[in-house]
Amino acid sequence: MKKLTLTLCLILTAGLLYGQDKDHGDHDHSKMSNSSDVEAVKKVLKSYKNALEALDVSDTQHLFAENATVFENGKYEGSYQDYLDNHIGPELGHFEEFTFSDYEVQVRMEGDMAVAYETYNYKIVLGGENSRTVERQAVATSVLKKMDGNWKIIQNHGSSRALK
Amino acid sequence: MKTFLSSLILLFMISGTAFAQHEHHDDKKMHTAGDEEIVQVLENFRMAIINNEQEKASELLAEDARILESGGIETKEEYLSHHFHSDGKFLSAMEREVKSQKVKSNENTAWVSTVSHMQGTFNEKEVSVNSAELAVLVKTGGGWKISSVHWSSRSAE
Repeated sequence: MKKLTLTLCLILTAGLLYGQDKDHGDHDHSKMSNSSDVEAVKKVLKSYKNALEALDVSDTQHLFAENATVFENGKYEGSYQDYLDNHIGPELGHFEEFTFSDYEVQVRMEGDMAVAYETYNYKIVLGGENSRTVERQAVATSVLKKMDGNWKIIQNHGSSRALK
Repeated sequence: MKTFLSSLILLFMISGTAFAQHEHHDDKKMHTAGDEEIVQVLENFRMAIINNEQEKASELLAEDARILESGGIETKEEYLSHHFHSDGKFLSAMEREVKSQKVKSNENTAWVSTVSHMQGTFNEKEVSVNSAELAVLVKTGGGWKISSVHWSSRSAE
């Protein structure tokens, strides 16, 4: 009888272990997400958008992972710090206005990863002697990762076209 | 007592095997061969566009895929019924050289950033453009599928 009990115990325990393994393998990470993560991701993107509209990106490094990379309109810009130093940072110095309209964002969660798609129109008013206004339709894809409890952009790709 | 000990040893052996299988499974996913599989899906998609194989392209895209192209965004259905055809004509006229390609992945998600140069004649015009592509793929029961792809380009001149 004892032997039978032990054998049953053995089978049950082994079954549980296999069961755990299967659960892990079949787990749908997208279902683990909750609305607070989606909102947190949107907050990161909104903080960046707000910084661009305020023409001040001096405190945006914390929104990006250290090794984050940027694509813009067919160009690899390097790391976010490279992009800040060589592109968007100096560029904003020539803008009098940078505003977004018709802004929409969709966020998809995949475990500790998120992918966001932003669509918007933007208006840039350039100052100085060559003052002019540029208006374009734009999209951006951002891949974000949750790091130590904070969502950070690890890859960003922005592109634009003439307004219809 | 002997029976109990034997059962206990057997239990550890079985549970050890179960855990070992799990670890091996994860290690395999981190292997470079996994990256090749992901890159191959993107290459198959590119060839499906060039060869105007709409059904094949559709199979490689996730149902809710988004295609972003130089300031615009389309659903899978919109893309396949519209820009898919013009992209095929353009890509088939181009010589493409991949300058760099980085693949990053975790268990169920991968993202691939590719920089390439394309050159050729399209609509009787010489074209030379640098192109950036960010593709996100998700692992499904049917293998890796493209969840989104974002293309943009600029003149290389």
